[in-house]
Amino acid sequence: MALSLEQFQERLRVWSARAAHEVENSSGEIASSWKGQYRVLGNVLRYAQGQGAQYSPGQVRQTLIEDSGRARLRWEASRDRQEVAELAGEVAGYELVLTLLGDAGPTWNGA
Amino acid sequence: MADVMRFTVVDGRETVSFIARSSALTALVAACAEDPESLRALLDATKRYDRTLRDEVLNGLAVFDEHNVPDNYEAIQEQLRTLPAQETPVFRVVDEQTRDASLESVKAGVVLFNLSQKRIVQIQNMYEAIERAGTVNYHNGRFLSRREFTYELPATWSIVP
Repeated sequence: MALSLEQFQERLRVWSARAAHEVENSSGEIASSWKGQYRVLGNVLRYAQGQGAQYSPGQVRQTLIEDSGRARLRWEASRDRQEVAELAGEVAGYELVLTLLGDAGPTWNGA
Repeated sequence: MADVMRFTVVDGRETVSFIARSSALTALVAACAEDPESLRALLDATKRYDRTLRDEVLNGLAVFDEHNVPDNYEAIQEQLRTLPAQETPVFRVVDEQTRDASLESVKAGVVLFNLSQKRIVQIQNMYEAIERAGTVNYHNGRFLSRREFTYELPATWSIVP
C-alpha cells in the first residue's frame, strides 16, 4: 500500500503524542513501557524529518531493523523490571514502525 | 466494552482488524499453536477456546463487505471518523485510514498476529503477558468458564517484545 513520507511523519507524530499522553496518565511498568515507545517514536520521527527523508522506505526500514535488533538484545538481557518494561516499549515502538513501513513499497508515494 | 483490545491479523493475503474482549488474546495465541496460515484457519482454531469469537469476526467481515466495495470505502471511513475507537467494527485494511486504525491501541492495547511470519507482536498489551505455553480458559460467549485447555506454540513462532 502506498505511503508518502508526509503520511509516515504524520503517523509518527500521532503515535508519539499518544505515547506521551499515556506516559503522563499511567504509572509503574505500563508508564515505563509507553516511555520506551515514546522515545523510539520520537527518535524515528526526528530521523524521518532529517537525514532519513532522503532515503527510500526500504532503506529506512533496514536502518530501523538494525536499531530494533539492538533494542531487542538489551531487552532480552535486562533483568530490572522497570527497565524491561521500558525496553519492551522500545521494541514495540520499532515493531509498530516496521509494520507501517512493511507494505510501503520501494519509494515514497508522490516522491 | 470496557475490557477490550484491538487485534490485527496479517496472513499474507489480507489484513483484518477487530476489537474483541481482552480475554480473546489468550484464545488467539493458543490458536496459533495449530500453526494457522490464514485468518480463517486462525479463527477456526479459536472455536476450541472461545465459542463466539470466530462468528463475531466473520459476521463483522460480512457486514464490512456488504457496505464497502473496492474504490468506495466511504462507509468504513465514516465509521472510523465518528465512532469511539472501542466501538469500531471489524474491517479489512484497504487504505491509509484503515491501516492507521489497525495499528492503534484501543483500551487494553493492540496485538498483531502476523501468520505468514509466525510472529505475535504486542505493540501494546496491558491485558496480560503472553506466554509461549500455558492454559486458556474456555469463553462460553458470556464469560470465561472454568474449563481449561493447555497450549504450546511451535518453536517456529516468536512473540515480541
